[in-house]
Amino acid sequence: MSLLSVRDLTVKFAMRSQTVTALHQISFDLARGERLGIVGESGAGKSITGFALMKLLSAPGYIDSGTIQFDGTDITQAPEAQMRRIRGNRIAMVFQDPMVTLNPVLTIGQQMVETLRAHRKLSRRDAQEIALTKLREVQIAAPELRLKQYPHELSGGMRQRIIIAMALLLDPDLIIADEPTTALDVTIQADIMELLLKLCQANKVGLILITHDLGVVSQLTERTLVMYAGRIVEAGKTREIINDPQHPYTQGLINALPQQTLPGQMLKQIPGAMPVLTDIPPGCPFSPRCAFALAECRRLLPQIMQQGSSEVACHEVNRLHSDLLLEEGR
Amino acid sequence: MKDTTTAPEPPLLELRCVEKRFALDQSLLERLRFRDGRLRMDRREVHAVNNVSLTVNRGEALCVVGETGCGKSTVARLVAGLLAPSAGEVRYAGARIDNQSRRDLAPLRRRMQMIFQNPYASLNPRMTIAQALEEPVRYHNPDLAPVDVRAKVLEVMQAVGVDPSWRDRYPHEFSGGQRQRIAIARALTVDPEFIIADEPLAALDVSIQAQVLNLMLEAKVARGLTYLFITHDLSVVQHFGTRVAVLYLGTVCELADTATLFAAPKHPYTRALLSAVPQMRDGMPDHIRLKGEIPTPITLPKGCPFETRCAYADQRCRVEKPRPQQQRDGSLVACHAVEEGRVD
Repeated sequence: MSLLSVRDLTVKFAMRSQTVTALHQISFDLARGERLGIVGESGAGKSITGFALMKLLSAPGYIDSGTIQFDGTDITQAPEAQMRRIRGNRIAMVFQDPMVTLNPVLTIGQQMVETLRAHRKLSRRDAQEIALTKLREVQIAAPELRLKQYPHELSGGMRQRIIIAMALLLDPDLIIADEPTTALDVTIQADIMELLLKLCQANKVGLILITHDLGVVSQLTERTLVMYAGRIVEAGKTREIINDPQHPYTQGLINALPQQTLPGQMLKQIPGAMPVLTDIPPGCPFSPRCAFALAECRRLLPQIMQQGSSEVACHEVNRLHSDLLLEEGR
Repeated sequence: MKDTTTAPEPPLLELRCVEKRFALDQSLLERLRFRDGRLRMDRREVHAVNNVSLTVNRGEALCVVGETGCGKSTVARLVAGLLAPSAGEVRYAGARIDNQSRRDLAPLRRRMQMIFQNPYASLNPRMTIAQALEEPVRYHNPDLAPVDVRAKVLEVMQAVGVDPSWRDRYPHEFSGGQRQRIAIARALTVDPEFIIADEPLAALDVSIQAQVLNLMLEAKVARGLTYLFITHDLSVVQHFGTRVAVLYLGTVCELADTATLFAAPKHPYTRALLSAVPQMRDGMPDHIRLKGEIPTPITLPKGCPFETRCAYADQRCRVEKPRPQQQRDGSLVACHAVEEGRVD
């Protein structure tokens, strides 16, 4: 049985003049210890997905329909008290900016001990011991000293290490990491990515990695969801999505990277921009930017369907595949 | 080129041993400090840029790369005249520009324009797009008739893909990518020859980055622009730059042609930087791990700035600052270990 099973998750925002749908019927599964990437550009709905999974959406956002089965129970129906026992304990979250997560007026030690004692019956001394062990696991120099320090006394890379140590504090089953390395320099990013991968593998922790960076997804995850305008447009094994993308948007995203073109040549750009939530075009939301779009695409929303080893929501890919099947049938 | 004189053309931009220090303690009280049992006057400084020498030739795109706090934006600001160097010279087309008055610099501003990272901050929220684009044209060409100003703006708008129907709209009505396009249009309306771009893509999504980078490439070819391009993104450098300067703690550690730098990086820091870029290839690449963290620019290491984190550092590196040395392939590398052949 999978650890997390999301079915038709729909998130809406009730605005004064209208209600907009930010997530449209998202479905995916995550096995125990599996690492899943969620990729997309700003406004695709990837962070909303992360918040919805933790039931941390704040008004005017709400889960409209769908289910989130976590370890066998549907948490969309769970009362807040039960969610509080799950959050931080069984599902931990890591954000882009560590200063948002860390309390500036408490020392690292106070925050770690507080988290531990909120979920477990532990003496202060025992909690401190666990905190030290976790700080050593994330390879922080002089961990005893760090316990006594305040967040502002630490560098960005060290803060993110501490956030990861805090995420691991209660041995969670799942870590949801929202752009965990985006604010870091590349040399630090590489260290943090390596650390995150090693710890997830060693502790059999599942990972949902939300990012815009295809390189990061490629190095850390086994499976990937590509999101566009609040929908999953492609899902499959990370390697296959990177090496053989099916959806025109995924193809466009990869082809637009500078390393896909010879130096000095024009990049293969995707025209236009992602639609805003209040103004989603009819039919396929990508159709106004898509080179393959036909009249059908502008009218009918494509359903996500199994195509080979990936799932793709695209009329053009469907057409190609049915042509292939016809040929094979002959 | 119609230039037939025998003297070689000076580089469009030249930095000679430029230094920039920022005083941390401004007031008298802040500067008083108790040391060795005595009250002393002390002034702490951030050494943002240290002894940087660079040239940018006409038609080139020189990329300056480095991590947070390496002084790359300070370099851009020194060149644009937004900051005055603490020491050294900034020369433009052969003439010194760092010691000139604002008034003397005005004609230069037309030739040199700047594009910033945050397109939300670089457009006045109370000006329509037309007003924002026309203002620099009118400022630099006070005698131009309003009709001609409008024609000039329209020409640039069409060239960079700013829809002329946007004229009467305000910046908040546009997305980040569109605003960056407008900011680029604004820079191009005065027909500059030199563009200083400080992280122009950093705030944009991948698909939009490609659009803006293409726009800048197009403008480079069509208008014969020269760029000083500040970025932290090595894939953009590899694509856009003709030459690259790698900055660490305000010091140039390697300066080379882009192709040379990516094919054969020499400085230990450049190597670590290149190895750390996330790749779309299978598996995790074995990146070079740097020990420790970037030292603060307040108290610089005595010798090589990279010495505290370098795997090749020895006694000489700790006491003596390395000077840029010309390599066989033309690149400049400031490293004792490279000089002594200790780096393979």
